[in-house]
Amino acid sequence: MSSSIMMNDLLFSDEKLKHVRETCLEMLKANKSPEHVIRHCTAVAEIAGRLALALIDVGIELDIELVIRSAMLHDIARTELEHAKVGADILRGAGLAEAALIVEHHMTHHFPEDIESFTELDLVCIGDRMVREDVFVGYEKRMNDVLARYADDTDIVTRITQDVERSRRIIGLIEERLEMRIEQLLGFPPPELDSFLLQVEKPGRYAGGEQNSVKKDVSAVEIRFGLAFPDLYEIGMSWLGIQILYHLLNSLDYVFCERVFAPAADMERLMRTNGAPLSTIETKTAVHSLDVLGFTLQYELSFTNIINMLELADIPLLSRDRGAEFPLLIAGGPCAFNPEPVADCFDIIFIGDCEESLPEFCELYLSHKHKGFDKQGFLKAAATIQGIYIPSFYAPNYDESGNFTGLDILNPAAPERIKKRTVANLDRTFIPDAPIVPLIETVHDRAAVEIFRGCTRGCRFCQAGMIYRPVRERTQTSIQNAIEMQLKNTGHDEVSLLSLSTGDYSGLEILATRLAEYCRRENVALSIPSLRLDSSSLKILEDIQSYKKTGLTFAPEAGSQRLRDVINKTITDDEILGAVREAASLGWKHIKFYFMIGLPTETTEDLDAIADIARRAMQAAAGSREKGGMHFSLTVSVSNFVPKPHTPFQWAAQDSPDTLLEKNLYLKDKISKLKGVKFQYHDTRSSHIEGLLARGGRELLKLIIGASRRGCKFDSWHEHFNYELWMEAAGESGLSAKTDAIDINAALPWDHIDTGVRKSFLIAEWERAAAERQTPDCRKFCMNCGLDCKRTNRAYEDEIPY
Amino acid sequence: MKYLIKFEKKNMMIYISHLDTQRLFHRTMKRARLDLKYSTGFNPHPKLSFAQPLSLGHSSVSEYAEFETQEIRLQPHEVKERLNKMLPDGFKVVEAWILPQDSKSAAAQVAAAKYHIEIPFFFSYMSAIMEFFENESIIVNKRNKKNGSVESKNIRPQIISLKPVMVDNSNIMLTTSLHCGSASNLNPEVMLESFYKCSRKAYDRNAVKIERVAILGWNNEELLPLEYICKGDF
Repeated sequence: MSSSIMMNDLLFSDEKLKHVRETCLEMLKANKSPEHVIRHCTAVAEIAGRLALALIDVGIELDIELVIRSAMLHDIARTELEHAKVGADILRGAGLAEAALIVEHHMTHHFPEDIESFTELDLVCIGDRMVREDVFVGYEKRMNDVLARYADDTDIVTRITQDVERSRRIIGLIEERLEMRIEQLLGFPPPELDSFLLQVEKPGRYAGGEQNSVKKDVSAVEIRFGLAFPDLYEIGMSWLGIQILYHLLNSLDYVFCERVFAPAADMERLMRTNGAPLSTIETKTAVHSLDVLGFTLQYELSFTNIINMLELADIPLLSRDRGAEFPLLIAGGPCAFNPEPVADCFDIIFIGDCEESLPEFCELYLSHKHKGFDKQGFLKAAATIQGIYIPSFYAPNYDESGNFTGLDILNPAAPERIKKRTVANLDRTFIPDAPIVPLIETVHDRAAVEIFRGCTRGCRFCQAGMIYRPVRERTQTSIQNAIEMQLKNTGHDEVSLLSLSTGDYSGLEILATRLAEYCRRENVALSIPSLRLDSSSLKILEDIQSYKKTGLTFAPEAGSQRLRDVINKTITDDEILGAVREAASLGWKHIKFYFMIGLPTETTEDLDAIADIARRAMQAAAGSREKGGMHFSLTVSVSNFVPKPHTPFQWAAQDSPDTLLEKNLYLKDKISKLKGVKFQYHDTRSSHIEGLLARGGRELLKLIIGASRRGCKFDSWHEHFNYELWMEAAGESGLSAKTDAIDINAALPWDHIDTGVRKSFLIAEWERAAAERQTPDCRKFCMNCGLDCKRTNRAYEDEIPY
Repeated sequence: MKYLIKFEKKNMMIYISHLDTQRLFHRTMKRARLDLKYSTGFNPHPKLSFAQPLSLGHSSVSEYAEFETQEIRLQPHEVKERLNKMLPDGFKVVEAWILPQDSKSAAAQVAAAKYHIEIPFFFSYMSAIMEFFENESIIVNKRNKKNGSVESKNIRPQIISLKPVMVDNSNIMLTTSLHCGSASNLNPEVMLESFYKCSRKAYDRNAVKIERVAILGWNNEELLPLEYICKGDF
């Protein structure tokens, strides 16, 4: 990198420093210094001066005037043979003894070991060793120049070569202390992202250029869209939604949608020290220059990553602080059903399915762009699209003790409640034919087709089961076509059927048999997760996995029948044990049970029941092992219950992390006594933060930003999560970090988000839970939750067309 | 039918690992409908193998892969065209050949590789190269990945040639041939690091570009590009 130093800017807006420089310029001229030497001296003074100011800022004691003066005069006698010595004499004659000393030694100086003992002389030397005449070239290039010039003088060559190590070291120390590269301090554009890729782990995360990724002529599109996933590439690329939204947006010819992910810590460090802003994968465009930036809110523990990404992108965090020069910030996803903790960051939040509302939004954006974009005018117009929530049109109210009491509507265009958007027919909803094939291995490295959306089971803890209602099934033909197209266009060797409860798909057996046949022919593995383990499911699994029985997972969620009645998990001990018996006899050697602890009304007996069912499962397996194999094993995986908005348990108390830990350890102790059973449990402290954020209001943004400023990020990653920092931030924010029960009459921060499920239904379910009463699967018996299923749901039609 | 292809790995694709490259080719072959043969058994694997892994960050104009297809009528140029239609930017098949059914695996034939290495200009590079190359032994310390112990090894016998080919104000282009393959293998980065150490200079991996330009095998007394060895008819 080389560039002319801009003169007369920042540094010399200071009158005193300007005066120092003017005096020196006069001295140089009086001494008949040639023009190019004067330019060189001025450049060195600029660099040394700016470095000095930055170092003074971080607590190094330096005399800035002395730095400028000696830098300006260091080559005053450059035309002389021993220019340093002669120059020093001139300065002494002028009564500048201190500067004279610097000039005298500037050719022979050795840098100190540390920057605490840094002097003005060091700065002049650094400046001098980074410019070629009046052009900044950096230390390495400059030293090569000097070596080439003095090639015949072995003394000088030896001396400089010896000094190189020391100089590199001191420059490194300065950059470390300033937390930026010297180039960045001097205002040069950051280096291309490519230049970092050899220095980071898994550079493929940032490379782009994957099969089926999209490149468009940026001058031919009208909306530059960034689709941001606030986690690492390999997590984001495993999410089906990114494939749908990416290709949906790019199917609009006036939109170019690019992907943005959170950089890993090593990449972030390089970006920060070099001043490189967050950029897109496809064209490496700085995110802040896009028109629209859309985040997906998949889990609460990614909120700090959003804050961090906005900071890396140089985008102001709050919607009200952003003018039209910044991208419009939008968000969607499951956490958008209570977006309040981060609502103030976003201009627009999409509630519900986005396949229709997002293109409508783009069209509106385009028309507003054509008539001259005005942010407020656009937001007002956008508020009329169903499923769009404009946070700035609402303001929360609190009572004297800080409790949320409701929202004020600030804009007449804003609806009182924002009704979620629902696509009626999955077969007619966009599905990508050619998903992007990541270059590096991701968590789920496979083709995937959503076979239905929604769930009819009505488990009372499950947010997805409530917010994605009603059930909408994709037809078998559509599923099969999608799979064939995807496999043809990706070359994947695994395909997965996705849904919340795959066993509930109408005609699953027929579908699975057909697909298994097709996949065997194509050398593709078929995976069907989220099956309930009963006889028919086992038969399906037996069929598709005949040659390789990997493992089965099974989610009774609670150990006792009583607690399963409370949470509405309609399965009995006999069914669980029967499934284990059958699986073992079919040759499966490993089963994993999922349970939750901390559920409402839970007692010690319920915990004991978990250990008990594990013990009986091992017995059942032992009793039915015919096909040899004494190695049947069971894993009991326990997660911590976190009450979520829009569920019947939204009012429930969440156990404190200490209580949860106690319960986990109690279980661990019991289960470790069972032979062949492994126990896994989750960090209770991250569950605490998750719970806090899940049911929080807008007041929580303070806490999230505070945590982010303290360095919290990647909170869902065990190795990154730092509870102490979160607690510090909570203390500072003055908010209660408690996750107590909520009064059933209290205003909830998410009351204005309308999922279609009536609050009265949730209350009724909460009461049935307390009464330990189950509610049937709503395919069998409608509890009138509020959704108009009969009209929208083909699963309820009399004839199912396959 | 058994094929050998020679391909380039350039630009952003230098940042994906050998394992990811293998997965990418497997998928690309499926997309190109090349109908690979699979091994039989519990866990069928495609009959696709690469001659020699390339380090992450190195580019290459001369990588080799061999594979077997069910289809027997496909001409080599068709194989090449079909793959190039499907490969992402940065990968390109430059040539394809049919191999005899009984040909030895390409990997087993690899003996040496030739690299172009671009390093920042420094004065006295010529004497540094000569001094380095004239050493009778060059000892590097290598950490044993399994037990963590440090072993020293003389890499000098593994360096076949090393010379500058092009010099301008800012860069020096070196060309070097090194032992490569399962019998004796020297990564150019190890050689380079040792070269910088001998020259008492700091090695900055980020300032260096490494490109593999040939993979060679022995034919009698002569090192020849791999396709000549594998095809067996020259």
